[in-house]
Amino acid sequence: MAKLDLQKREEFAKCAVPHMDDVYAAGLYLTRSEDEAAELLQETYLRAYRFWHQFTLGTNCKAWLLTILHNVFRTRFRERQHAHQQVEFDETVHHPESVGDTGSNPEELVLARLLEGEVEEALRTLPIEFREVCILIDLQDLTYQEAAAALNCPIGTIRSRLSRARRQLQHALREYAKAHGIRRRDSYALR
Amino acid sequence: MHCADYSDLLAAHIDGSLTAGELESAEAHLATCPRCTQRLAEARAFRSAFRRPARRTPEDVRQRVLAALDAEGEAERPRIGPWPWWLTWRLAVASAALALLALAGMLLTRSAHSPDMLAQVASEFAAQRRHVRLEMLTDQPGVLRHHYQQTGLPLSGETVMDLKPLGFQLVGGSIATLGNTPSAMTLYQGSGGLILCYRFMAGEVRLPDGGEDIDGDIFYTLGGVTICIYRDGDMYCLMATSMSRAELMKVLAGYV
Repeated sequence: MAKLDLQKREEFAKCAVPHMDDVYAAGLYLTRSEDEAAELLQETYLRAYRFWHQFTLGTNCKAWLLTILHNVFRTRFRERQHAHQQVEFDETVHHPESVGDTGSNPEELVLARLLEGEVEEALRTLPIEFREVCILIDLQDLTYQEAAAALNCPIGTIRSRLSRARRQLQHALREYAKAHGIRRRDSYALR
Repeated sequence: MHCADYSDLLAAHIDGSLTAGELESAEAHLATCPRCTQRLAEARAFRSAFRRPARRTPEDVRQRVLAALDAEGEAERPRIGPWPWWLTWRLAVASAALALLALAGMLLTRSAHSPDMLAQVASEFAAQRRHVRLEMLTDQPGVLRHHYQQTGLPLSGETVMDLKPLGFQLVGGSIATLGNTPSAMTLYQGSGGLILCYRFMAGEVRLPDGGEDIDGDIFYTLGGVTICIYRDGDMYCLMATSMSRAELMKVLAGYV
């Protein structure tokens, strides 16, 4: 960074570079590959630097970087991804009531036992359209408006995708908890 | 509202992103639907317990990205390194500098050149990158003026302009030789582009044909490069920029 020049360099170093971890993490969940995430990160930052004049200082730089990230991913990386059919969530099968061992509020108790790794793994299993929304809003704290702008889709789409994404995550994590013998009672015992 | 409709709004409900009308409809639905009420409670608990995985960029990846940015900045903008300063410019800027050098060389050797030849020179240079040396890197006009004075260069008037109020920051300058004539070469950078300015003392100089005289300033456009020449007594000023003629004129008008 020492060689980047003048005002642009200083602004970029101050505003964009600190978000590198967030952009890398988002890329990792999108690509599910560390190599591709690194490549995506580099391409995102190079584009951001080239088009820095289009960024408005004082606005959300992370949202701007993530918008670039998603654009790069869609144009250059997505075709590389394995065919990943979006599977509609079947509520008659996956509704919490059918899972069993559910009380009025089991999620918090179960999740308290889960490690970050499991959450991360569950996130990676989401169809890409759901994963994108979840990454932007739940992991990167973008607003619905910012996510809609980043993904170039209506807010209504963001809302419904996020609802479904969270439902699938809930289900995946509960299944994981069941498979590993994590139950409400265990969680209570920890407290 | 049906369960399916509420289902799509569930996340926004938890996040407090429903409109007043939507919230009213959602609450009316929840009052009559125990199943959706339970799902809301579960989803809310899930949301509050959701652990955000923390991921750091691997150090080797970070360094690789920073190196790529470095290379990008080096190619795109003046490169700041240890003394002396070497600047590498991309196409538009390089062509501006070199077209100007070519034009200045022609002026000072007092040769007659047609506009076609000038354009050819500009376009030939436009396809290449070049290095231009800046002896002093400073954003303080006074510092650079002092540097020029120290060199003993015969200059008069305002050798370094203060264009900061017009959005152009001084980058630095150097003593450059045009033909056999030493000149003060100064670089300014703004959001609109770069301005490269040469000032030198000379006797009567024959300007190339093809220029447009606007209030005593002679403008040329060569290969996308705008060049402006003006004279103040025996001192000449040549300015080159990738900005349009109108944009350069606006800057000059603002400076005057």
